[in-house]
Amino acid sequence: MIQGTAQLFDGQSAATHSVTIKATEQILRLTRSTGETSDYLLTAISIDPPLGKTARRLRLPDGGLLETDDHALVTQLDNWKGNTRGLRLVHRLEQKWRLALLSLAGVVIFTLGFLKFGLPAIADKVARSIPLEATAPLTTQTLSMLDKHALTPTELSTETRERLQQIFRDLDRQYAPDIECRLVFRQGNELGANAFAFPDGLVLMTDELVEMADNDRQIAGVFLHEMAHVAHRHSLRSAFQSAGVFMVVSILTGDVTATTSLAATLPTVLLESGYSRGFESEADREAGEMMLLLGWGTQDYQEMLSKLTGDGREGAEVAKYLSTHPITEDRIHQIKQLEMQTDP
Amino acid sequence: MSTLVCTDCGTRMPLFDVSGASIACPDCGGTLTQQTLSAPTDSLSATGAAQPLAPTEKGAYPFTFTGNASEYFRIWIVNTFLTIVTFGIYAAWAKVRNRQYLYANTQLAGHSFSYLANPISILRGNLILAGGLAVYTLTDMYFTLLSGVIVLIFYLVLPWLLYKTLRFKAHNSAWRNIRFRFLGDLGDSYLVYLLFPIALPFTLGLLIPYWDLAKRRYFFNNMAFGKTRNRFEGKAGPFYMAYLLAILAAIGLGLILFLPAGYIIGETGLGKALDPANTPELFFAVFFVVFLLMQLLFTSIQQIIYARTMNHCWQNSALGEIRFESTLHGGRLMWIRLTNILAILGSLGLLAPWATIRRTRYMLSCLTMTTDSDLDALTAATEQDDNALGDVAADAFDFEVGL
Repeated sequence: MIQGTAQLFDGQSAATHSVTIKATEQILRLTRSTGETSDYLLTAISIDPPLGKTARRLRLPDGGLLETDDHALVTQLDNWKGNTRGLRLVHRLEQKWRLALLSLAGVVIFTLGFLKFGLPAIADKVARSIPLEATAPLTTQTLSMLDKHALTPTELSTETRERLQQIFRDLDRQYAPDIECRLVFRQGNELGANAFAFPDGLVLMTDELVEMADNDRQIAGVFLHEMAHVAHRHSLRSAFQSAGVFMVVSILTGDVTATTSLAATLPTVLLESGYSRGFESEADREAGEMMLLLGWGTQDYQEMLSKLTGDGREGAEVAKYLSTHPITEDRIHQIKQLEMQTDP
Repeated sequence: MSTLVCTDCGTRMPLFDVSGASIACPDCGGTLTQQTLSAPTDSLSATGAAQPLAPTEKGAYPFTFTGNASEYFRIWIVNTFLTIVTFGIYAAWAKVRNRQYLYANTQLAGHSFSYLANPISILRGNLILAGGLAVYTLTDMYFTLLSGVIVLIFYLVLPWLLYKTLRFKAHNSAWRNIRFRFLGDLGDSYLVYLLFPIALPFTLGLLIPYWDLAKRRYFFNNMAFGKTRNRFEGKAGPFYMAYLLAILAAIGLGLILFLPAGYIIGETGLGKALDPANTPELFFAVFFVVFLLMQLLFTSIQQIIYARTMNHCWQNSALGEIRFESTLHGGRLMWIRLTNILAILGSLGLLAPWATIRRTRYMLSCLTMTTDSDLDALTAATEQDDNALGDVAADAFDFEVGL
């Protein structure tokens, strides 16, 4: 038999009563200061899980609450009742600094592992399970949005367009025979020299980009880059990964966001632009490899990249991590590496 | 204390000012007579080892906070870990544990508060939120034009969610085994959280301090401890004064921060270098710093407004006989918030629990409960209500949405 003291709150009023507790493995007897006693079956009492050094709380079947600082007593009751799992285990983890630091390491490792391997793998699997045709509404939505707000009809001559369409079809047959990519032209206006890949295989190129190119091989390089985005489902994967990042960041900063929203937005931006740079690198690599395979070399593609991004001045370290594209020097360097590897 | 006792059936009623008039017993029609009882017999002699009682002298009962950062850090990190490895499912249990730690370390008159939420209800709220987010994301992808409709629906549902959350939070907060309750009605929630925001643009923002008051009134005027409802008599004047002071402080701080910067940029010809066309990385860096400073400035003035308006709200609340004294200092709150933000950013979030403890400790140290009658009066104030446990429905059908 064990015993101790506690305060009783009957749940009817805010009055407190000092009581003594005597308990065996089956019964808890409560004695009030008036000498009046009440007996409860231990199985009918629910015990709040322990938390830090805060007082332990026992909820009685009649709505009463017992509160005591006698942790040893309540631990014994917990044992008798067989409450050994769940939050009691959590409490034990919370008690020791060593375990807390292990949890911290666990948070870091699990988060980084998930962001680096888990999330991209899940996003990839889900994106590939969606047939390209099913993403057609996505393309229609985005394209009509762009047409409404930024783009105007193309002003390229019919010959130019037909010539480029032919190149595009040839490349599509060789690079991605199982995917039917389509090409459309638009006047880019404020979007300037640019090209987009839509999830269902539509590739949009602006007149400005066509006009900027010195030759068709430079344009062909961009075609291949965009086809790689389509073939690897980059736009869907990036949408799913963004959702995943949002989930991870909101779980981790649940408490923090109350203090500063910056704490949540900055990692989100950094992670998402990191993923995006990964996709761009992959598309660059595929385009470069295909051009080498065709025996064209990558010189034209390198030139096109430098043209598209100005003179590569955006090399500041900060900008590097926030940018959605790898810096041009790195992109060109990667293509050169590719050429050197396959050349000898 | 004094009580009216029925000579026939023994029914007891707390003493009102009856000035000797004879009153009929509501239960049996007998005569109520005045009887003076000794204080509740909590004498220590019977058990010999009872815990020290709460102070029973008249006067002030300060709120105190006994939580400490190292203990809370361990609880926080362990629960964060469990949340991460369960892909967010455990988040509901983590939330209850974190909040219960803060509640259980909030002491008033010798006893702490407790947070009684069932994690399943919080999980339900989380799932509702996640479902809403998923619907929004998919709609945004597939039917961009419809996503506006979803946002509209969200704003239409928001007052209901807030109403549910207020009820849930109150119902699951207790002191001395008596739950709090939120008695506000849904219509008022729509008034405060839907109609006011719609009206704001038409008043050029002049309505904002009044809207703040409306939100506080919705909270303070509808809170109840057991069956004792809080009365709130806050006025708009102090809210407008708080905003005025905050705006003046913002202008002052803005001048101190940005005037020297502007001068330096002008004098040294940095202005040219800041042209985004010339050096985008420098422009970007400066833009980022300015953005950060603006955020800090905004947070700072929020603290001034918060301190002044909260003081006003507490001082104009009456929970039965009980009054409150709140002495939050805007400057002090501002300092705590700013250094907290820097500490959290600098520690990559690891100091977040420390920051929470620090802010909670300060806020509670500024709050005092005062009552002219002794604590037994507090007891009596709820004793007259049989069913002080609160409406059970609030637990079964309410949920919490972390907004």
